[in-house]
Amino acid sequence: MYRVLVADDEKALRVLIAGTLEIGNYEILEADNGIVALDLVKREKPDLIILDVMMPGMTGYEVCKRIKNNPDIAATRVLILTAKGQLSDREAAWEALADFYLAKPFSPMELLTMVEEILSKQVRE
Amino acid sequence: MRRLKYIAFIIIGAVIMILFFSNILSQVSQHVAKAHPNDSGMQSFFSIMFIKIIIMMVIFVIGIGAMLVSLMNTYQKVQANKQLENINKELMEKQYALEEQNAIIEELNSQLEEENFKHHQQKEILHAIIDSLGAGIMMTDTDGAVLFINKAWKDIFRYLEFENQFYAQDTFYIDGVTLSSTERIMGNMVTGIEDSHEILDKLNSLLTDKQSRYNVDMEQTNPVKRFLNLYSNPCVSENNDSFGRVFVVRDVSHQKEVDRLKLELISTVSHELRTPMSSIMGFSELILTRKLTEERNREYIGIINSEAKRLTNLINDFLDIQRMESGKQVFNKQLNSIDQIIEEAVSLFQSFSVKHKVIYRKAEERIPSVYCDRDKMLQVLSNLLSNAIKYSPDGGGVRIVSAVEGDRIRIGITDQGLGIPDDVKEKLFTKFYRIHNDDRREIGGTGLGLAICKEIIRSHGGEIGVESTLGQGSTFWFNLPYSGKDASDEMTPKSDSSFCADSEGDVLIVEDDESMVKLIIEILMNEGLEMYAVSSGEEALQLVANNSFKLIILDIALSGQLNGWDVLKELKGNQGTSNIPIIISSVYEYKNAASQGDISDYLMKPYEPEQLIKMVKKALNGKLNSKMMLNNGDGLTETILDMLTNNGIGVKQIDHSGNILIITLEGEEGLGNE
Repeated sequence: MYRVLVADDEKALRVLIAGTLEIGNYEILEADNGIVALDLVKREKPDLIILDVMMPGMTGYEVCKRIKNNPDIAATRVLILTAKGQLSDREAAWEALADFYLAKPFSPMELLTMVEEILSKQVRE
Repeated sequence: MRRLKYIAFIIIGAVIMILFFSNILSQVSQHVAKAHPNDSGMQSFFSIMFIKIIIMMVIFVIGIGAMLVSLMNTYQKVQANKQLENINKELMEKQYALEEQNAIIEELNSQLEEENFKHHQQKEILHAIIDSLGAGIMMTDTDGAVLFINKAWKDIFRYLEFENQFYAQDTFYIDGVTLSSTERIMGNMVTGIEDSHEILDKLNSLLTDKQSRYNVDMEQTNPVKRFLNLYSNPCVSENNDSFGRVFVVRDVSHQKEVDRLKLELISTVSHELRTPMSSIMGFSELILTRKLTEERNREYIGIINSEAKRLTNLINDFLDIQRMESGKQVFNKQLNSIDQIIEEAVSLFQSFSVKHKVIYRKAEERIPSVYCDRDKMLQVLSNLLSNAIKYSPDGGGVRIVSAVEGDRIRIGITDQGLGIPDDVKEKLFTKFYRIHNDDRREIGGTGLGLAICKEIIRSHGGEIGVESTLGQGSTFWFNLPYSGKDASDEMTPKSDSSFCADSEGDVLIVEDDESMVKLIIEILMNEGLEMYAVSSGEEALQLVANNSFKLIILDIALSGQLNGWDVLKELKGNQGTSNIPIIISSVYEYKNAASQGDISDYLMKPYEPEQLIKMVKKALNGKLNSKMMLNNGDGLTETILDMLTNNGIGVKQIDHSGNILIITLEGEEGLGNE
């Protein structure tokens, strides 16, 4: 069972992602701001973090950078999910060393497929 | 010589004549001697005659000669005189010509001076133009030496201290600038600018370049942080003569900032739109593609619904604020009791939350009325109240206090909630700003509420602000300028030096349109007048008979049998009431124009509040309102003129102002109340 951390300050979005992933075999963790998210990654070591960008406390990019620069947790897969759909935002996601990027509004099925693919790849590695 | 010739000629002539005569005489004497050989007397007579004639001839010849000489002399003198005269004439002509030339030279001289002056003036104007330009301008000659820099250039690069660096004869032209000092100017110019070496190289290469154009945006960080735009073009005359180059520099920090804000706004708006959109799309997709329990379905549809509402609110709020910021929002401002509006807002929120208790407290017994848009005020209060409740998640009291402060009413809404950190208090009223921290995570909103409140209050001439201690709650307050009176129905007189109101009725409003009555009362509210309103002419006459009024504002179309003109006629015909000034307030009806009566003033509906106030003040101070304003309808001018002249009112002047006809009345025979 994979552990997926959903970090978004919008409750509706967390409910949506949790609902989307409920048909898979995932354990869902939730965080509503960047600091909590980073703390949860360190403590719970999830396999994947679905990370919103515009979050109070710490932006998603910052959380991502800190994860990737910390050898203990750098293996955590990071999917950046943002409502800022501009090209520069995508670049910023890559700069923050994110593994995947999905723009809001997104299709839950697309997200589910993406998550499944990410985690199955991780198994193969 | 000539004379000698003449004399010789005369002498020869005389000698020939003498010889001729002596020959004749000798022949005669020989003849006589032959004829009369013995007559010695005859011979001597002829000898004597001969001598006499010779002498006579000699004298004659001498005389002729002398005459000729004198004639000759005279002739010569005349000739000489003639010559002199000719010379004189020539001289005069020459002098004249000279004078003419002089005049031309003088003319040319003054023209030259004028040209010089014009040239100087033009130069000064050109200087002034160049110096008054907002953009900095520097001109270099073909060798690359600086010719002049304008004021803006010096202002933009004021740290270069141009005055100390060069021997500037005036503030415009720069003397003593060599090529190396030009390079120094350039070098200093790009101080603190990103890629300064690259730009400097380019600028230096441009100095002797007669063709290239150059345009560069520079970001300067030191000694000031700003964005500069610099461009340089060759300076070429119409005949393609090169004068060097012109360099133009502008501070474009403001434009950059505007661009940045625009991009930020677009980015924020798109973010704010995408967030609820994600929920709506995502949950609807889940509902469509999955078999969900009834409970789940309802939950998801509930979220979709609330997110759709949020989206709608966001769009509405966003449009609202755009409209307000661009000044396109129309406010329906009327005199309102702010007290009542607060009560209404409080009642809306009293049952809103069980954890919160909303209390309204008045610092004064009577809170004055405010000229405002009721709905918008309610929006501000609702917004502040809902914020107070939202941002005190643990509950507590929400207190509204209204108080008079100087010429304003201050309304404060205090909560016992989260409070606001000092550093964000200013940003709080900007669009889409929301304080992000853990405690506020569940608190929704568009981030536009306070920005809208600020715009509404600003449009009412008030101020809005916040006082807060983090963790102890906040007080959001706003103030509004207030009117002197209540908007309630009963009017209490208030003394006002300009009106000398007494306990009797001040103003009688005869008007059948209720909203019009309300409007007139609102307009005159601040003037401290006691006002009565009736809707029919009959009531009006009855009231006037039993009370004394200082002024009557009279509509023409009334609800009873009598119309305004009838009332006017009745009042003016009665000794006791003929002195009351009357202002006609009407949309004017043509068929009634022929009625008789004296009017103090005439107001055409719709009119500006100021207009009515002015007229009332004038009328009450006992002076004739000498102006009438009418709608310039067909044939109306003549009718009004007839009406006025029939009543003995002289018309001085008629002006047109758009569709309004302004008639200036003659004389001071006013309808004062004294």
